[in-house]
Amino acid sequence: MAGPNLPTNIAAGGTTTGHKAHTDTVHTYVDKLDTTFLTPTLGKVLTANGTTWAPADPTSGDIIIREIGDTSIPGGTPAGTLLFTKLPITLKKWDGVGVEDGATVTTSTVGSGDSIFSAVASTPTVTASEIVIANAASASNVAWDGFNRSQFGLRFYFRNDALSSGNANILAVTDLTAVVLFKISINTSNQPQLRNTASTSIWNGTAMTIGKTYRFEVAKTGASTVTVKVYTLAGTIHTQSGSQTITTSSDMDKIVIGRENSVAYGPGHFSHLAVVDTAVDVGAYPSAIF
Amino acid sequence: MAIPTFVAAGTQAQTSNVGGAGPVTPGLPAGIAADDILILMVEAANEPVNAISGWTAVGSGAVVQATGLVTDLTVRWLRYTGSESAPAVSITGANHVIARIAAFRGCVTTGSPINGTPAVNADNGTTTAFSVPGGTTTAADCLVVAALSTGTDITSTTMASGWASTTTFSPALTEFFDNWHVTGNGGGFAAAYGGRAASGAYNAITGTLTTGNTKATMSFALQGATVAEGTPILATPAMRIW
Repeated sequence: MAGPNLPTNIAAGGTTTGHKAHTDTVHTYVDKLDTTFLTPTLGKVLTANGTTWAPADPTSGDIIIREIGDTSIPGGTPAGTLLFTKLPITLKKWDGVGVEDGATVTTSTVGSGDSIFSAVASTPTVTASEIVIANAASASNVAWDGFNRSQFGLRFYFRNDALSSGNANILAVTDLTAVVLFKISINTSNQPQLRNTASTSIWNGTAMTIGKTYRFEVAKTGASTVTVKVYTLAGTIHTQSGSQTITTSSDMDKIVIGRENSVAYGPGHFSHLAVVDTAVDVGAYPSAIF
Repeated sequence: MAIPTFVAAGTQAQTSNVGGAGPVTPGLPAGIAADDILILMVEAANEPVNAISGWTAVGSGAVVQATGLVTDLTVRWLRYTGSESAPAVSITGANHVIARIAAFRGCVTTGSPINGTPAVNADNGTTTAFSVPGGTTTAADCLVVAALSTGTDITSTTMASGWASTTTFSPALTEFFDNWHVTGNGGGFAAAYGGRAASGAYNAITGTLTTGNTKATMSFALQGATVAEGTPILATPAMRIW
C-alpha cells in the first residue's frame, strides 16, 4: 500500500510484506505526487536526479503553472508579467441585428443579445442595423450609464455622410456627477478630435472620408489617460491619438454616442457599439452589417 | 439549339463617392434587340436592392457576404422587348450602389432563361484566389455566367483575371464585367461567361483578384433557344434539313 506520508511498503493490515522493492518504488511516486508535486511550488519546477525529487528554479523551456496574480517568477522570466491574463468582459453591446429598418430607437430597441440604452435623445432611427443620427442642429444620441469604471474599452463604427457645420460631438463620456471626462468630436474637415473636460481639443486626427465607415477604438487606459484609434474597414490604422492626458480623473459612469451637442452633420451612422471592462481594442465586429 | 452569345455591356453606374441609396441608372448595352436577355448585376454593402419593375431575380436574387468587408451581389434578368429604358437601381438607406447591365442573345424566348439552379457561396476567405461554385445545366447549349463581388474599397477595372475551370467551356471563359469603385465603403463585381454544349455538371470557376477580401459568388446558366421552325439546320456538308 502506498500513500502520502506513509512509511514504505505497508500492507493493508499495517505490516510489512513482500515485493518490497517494487512497492517502495510505487510508494515513492505516489508520495511525491501527493506531497510534493501537488504542493504549491512558488514558481519552482519539480525536478528529479534519478533518486530524489525536489523543487528547483525553472530554466529555459520549463513549463510553469502559477496562480493568476502571482507576479514572482524566479528563473529569469520578467517580474510582474502574468502567465495568464484576464480576458475582457463585455459590459454593454448593441448590434441591432434583427431590428427593422426605419425603427425609431428607444431605450428598449434592441436586437438579439443587445443591451438596452439608459437614455435616448431625439429618436434616432435604424437602417441596416445602423443607428442613424439625422442631419439636424440638435442633440440626438443613445447612452448607457452605471459603469463606475476607471478603465474601459469602447468600440463603435462611424460613418458621416456630410461635413459638419462646426465641431460636432460624436461621443461624450462623463462621471457620476455628469462632469465630462472627455469627448470625441469631428470638425468641419471631418477630422476626429479628442477633447478634455473643458472641451479643449487635445488631439486632431487625420480627416476621414465622407461616406466611408471607420472603426473607433477608444480606451481609458488610466485614471486620466485616453487613447483613440481609428481603423479603416480593411483593418488598418487610419489615425490614432497615442496616450493623451485628460483633465479629470474620476471614474467613468456614462457614455453618450451620437450627436451630443447641437452642431449639425451627417446623417451620422453608428453601429456595433461595445463597451468592455478593460482598456483594450474590442476589435472588428466579426460579421458586420453596414 | 445554339449557345447564347454575349452582345455587349452597358455603362457602369454608381452612387457618388459620398455613397448613398441611389438610384443609379446603369446604361442599356448598345445594339440590343427584342428577346435579348439583359443581366443586371449590383454590388452593395449587404443591403437589399429595391424591386425594379420588369426585372426578375436570378435564383434567390442575391448572395450576401456579411463577414469582413461586407458585400452582396444581386443579379436580375429582363427579356428586352425593344421598349424598356435603363432601370433606376436603388437601395433604401444604402451605403453605396454599383450596377451594370450586359445583354445576351439566343436565349429561350419564353419563360425564364435561367437553366437549373444558380449556385451561390459566401466565401469568408480573404485570399486573392477566388472560386465561383460550379453547378449543373439540365439542357444542352447553355451559356454559364460566373460572378463575384467584394467590398474592396478601390477603383479598378482590372481586379479579376485568370478565369479558368477544370471543366472545358466553349466558347472559353471570357470576362465581361470588372468594376470596382470607391463609392461609400467601396466594392465591386466581376463576371465571365463560357459555353456548355452538353448538359450536366460544370466545375468551379476560379481566378485571381488583385486585392483579396471576403467574397459573394454566384454561377448560373442561360439556356439557349430552340431553333425556330423553318430555320435551316446544317446536318452534313451535303444535306440541309428543312
